[in-house]
Amino acid sequence: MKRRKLYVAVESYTDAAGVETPRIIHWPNGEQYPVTAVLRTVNRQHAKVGGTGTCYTCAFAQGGIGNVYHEVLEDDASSVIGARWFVEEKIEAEHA
Amino acid sequence: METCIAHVDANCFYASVEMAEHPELLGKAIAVCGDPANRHGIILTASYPAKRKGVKTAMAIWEAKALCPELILVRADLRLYMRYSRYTRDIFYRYTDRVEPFGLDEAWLGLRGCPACGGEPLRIVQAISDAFKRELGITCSIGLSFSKVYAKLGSDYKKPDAITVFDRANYRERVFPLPVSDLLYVGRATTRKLNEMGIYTIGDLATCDPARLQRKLGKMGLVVHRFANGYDDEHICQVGDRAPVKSVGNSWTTPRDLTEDTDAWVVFMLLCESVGARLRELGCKCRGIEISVRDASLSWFSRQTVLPMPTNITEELTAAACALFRCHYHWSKGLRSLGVRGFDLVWSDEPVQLRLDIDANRQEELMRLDGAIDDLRRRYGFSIVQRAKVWTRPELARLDARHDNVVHPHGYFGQMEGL
Ligand SMILES: [Mg+2]
Repeated sequence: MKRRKLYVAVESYTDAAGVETPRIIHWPNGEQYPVTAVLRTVNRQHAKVGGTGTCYTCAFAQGGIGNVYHEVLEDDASSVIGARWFVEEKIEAEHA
Repeated sequence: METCIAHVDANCFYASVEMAEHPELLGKAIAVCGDPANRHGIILTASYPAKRKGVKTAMAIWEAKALCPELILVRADLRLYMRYSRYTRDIFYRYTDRVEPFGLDEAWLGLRGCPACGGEPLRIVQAISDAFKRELGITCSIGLSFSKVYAKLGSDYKKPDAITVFDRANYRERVFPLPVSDLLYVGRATTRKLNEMGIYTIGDLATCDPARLQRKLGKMGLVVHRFANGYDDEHICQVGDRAPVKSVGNSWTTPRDLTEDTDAWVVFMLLCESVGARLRELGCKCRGIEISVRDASLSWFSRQTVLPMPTNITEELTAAACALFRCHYHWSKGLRSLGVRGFDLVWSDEPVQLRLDIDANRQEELMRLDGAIDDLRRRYGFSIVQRAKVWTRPELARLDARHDNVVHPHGYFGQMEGL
């Protein structure tokens, strides 16, 4: 199975202290994965698909656990202007 | 004295970051360059498999391809490298607030009295090395010693992914046999002079009579003698530690209000000529540039930026100042005064990571041009040579930025206040 980096839309909640928590992950195909709990956050490189950031290990409403990475985004002058989320997408082998 | 100064150097930084972002490149011969399509462009950083084939930093792309036909060229992405650079600093700050960055991929850390890891510097640097791998997917070489210069030698001693300790017990045996050119601030010219004196290793230099060195090399002779012996000021300049500012600046209140971009360009060019000339005189480059802007109502602001690579080239300073200006001023009012300051100075012959978007030949040309202009002006006065575009504003062109206005060096090089 191949894997690739997939940027996804995420609804998140930021508390008064500035701590951000993902709430719902929206895949490009329309599927939604509500997050029931963030089990841990840790800064980590994604060794399989590349990239680095804060890795949120989440439990999802459908069951199962997965990682969502929060990656910094800069403008041309390298000032941080925000962040985006990515996940690992598994691609089935196209041909036998 | 404790071994509590570390120098951390990310291995093949640009190439490693590309591999951390694109794991499919791992283990392959890759090279980062400004423009992969330009055969005459140069290699900025190569991965180890490419290095083993003979690919080197600053080599032309065609040359590298000839040595290593399977070489994968990657277009440099400075934004990405700056992001990883910030992450490396975030890691350092978990252990110490004494962090002195040196380019994007190197830093000195002061670890004396840091409570992490039981207060043991060796365990702290091991933790840092692990964090680099786990969090960033890149490796680093770390030197740990009792002086900054020895710590830097240590990070060069063994690569990649290594920790080298030079302590009081082993430095004579391990540091002294190294070639004298490995020492920080010992560039090609100094090496040649030292070799003429029969000094080839750091040990030769350390045990040489300092008076003899001073006769041959002047003040610098004493400096490198101290370095060779592992004495330096040990002061790690903290980021945001503005007190020991080392900068050169100049400002000018113009004879008439400035009203558009060409006016501003002319004044910035004149100011940067003076700041550049002063930097070159000091044998320095600046890593950052600041502009100050005062409008006709005398309200004032300043903005600064870090340069992609240290420079003292007039044209590069001017381009940076103008870019900063265009970002932050939109001619709501005429201007009365402009200023430029180069800060965060480094010695000119210090090794630096090559820049992405400028080819080395062009830079060499610009340096020679500046040298020629400096020379002419020293001999025949400021007005003997002038850039043509400056004369599109003759009423502004008459500033001898170098002499009519005070140029303010401070910190290392003097005690005067800047702008
Ligand atoms: Mg390096």
